[in-house]
Amino acid sequence: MTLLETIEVGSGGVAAVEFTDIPQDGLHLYILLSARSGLAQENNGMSVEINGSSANSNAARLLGYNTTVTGNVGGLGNNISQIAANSSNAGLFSSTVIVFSNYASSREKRYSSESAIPNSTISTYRPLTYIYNGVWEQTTAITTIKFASGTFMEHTTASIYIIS
Amino acid sequence: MATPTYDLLESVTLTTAASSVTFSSIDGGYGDLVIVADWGFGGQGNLDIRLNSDTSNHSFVTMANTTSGRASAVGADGNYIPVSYHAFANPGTYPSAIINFLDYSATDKHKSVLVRSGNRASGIEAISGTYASTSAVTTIRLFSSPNIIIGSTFNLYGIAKESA
Repeated sequence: MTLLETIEVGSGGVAAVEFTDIPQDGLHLYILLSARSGLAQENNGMSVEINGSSANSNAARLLGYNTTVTGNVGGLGNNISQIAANSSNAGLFSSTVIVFSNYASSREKRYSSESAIPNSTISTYRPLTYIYNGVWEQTTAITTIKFASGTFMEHTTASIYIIS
Repeated sequence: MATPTYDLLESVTLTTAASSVTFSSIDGGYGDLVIVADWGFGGQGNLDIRLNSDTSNHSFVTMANTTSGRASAVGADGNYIPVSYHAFANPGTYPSAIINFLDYSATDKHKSVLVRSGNRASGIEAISGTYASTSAVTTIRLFSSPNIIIGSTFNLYGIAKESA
């Protein structure tokens, strides 16, 4: 397992977190994200673009927040997770693990995510736990991954590892 | 900073359809095991796990979100732990899973297995399994009916718990 890159968001935030020029000599990609968005609510979600494309993703998810358990099969577009919103307690960031398996292969790419938003201030959409399983129905190798969720706030960190 | 250890122990890519994939003589020198699996079926089916060729002592609890809604189930003292139970897969639905085997080589405790799996068409599932044996896990068999198709991949990793 080799760390490729860590992105630390500075003052003012950024519109997206992006990993580019991903080397093709691994089997899987493992991404750890500690994040907070500038969005008002967690259910606005976090999107992913693979190789610059927001299309061709199909997925299912199961999530629990506050006292609600719900989920979807299909119809998620490129929404991969939910992260802490700006209405969360000060200093609170969500934790997300994302795995892209066989990312350099010539097969359709499977990926999954798990997220948690603990919070001492309960709202409609938090605390939250979230699991997701998807496929990007393209056979091109993944070279670029970009996440967006409004503005990623300062102190958001994202690390990408290669598992060989 | 410590370097995460994620050693590839064995990689299987099916070149012919098969009803099972077996990892045997597993090195007991790691803390945990992880299987990253992308597979397909020739028909509708589920994938299951059997440890040490034991036909009892496997139990599980599952929660899922499927096209039929949320579901859960419990299985006790059986001969398998499911990789998917409610979220069965059909051909062309791109199932995948990440499976953790905690303290697999310990001889003073029962073994825990954590599964996150899903596919684009029928849903997503989280499963907690127990292997009620103090024997070290040396063999992991993944099996199904119908057959697992050509091109399916199963990667077994060992994760070290102690720094070198």
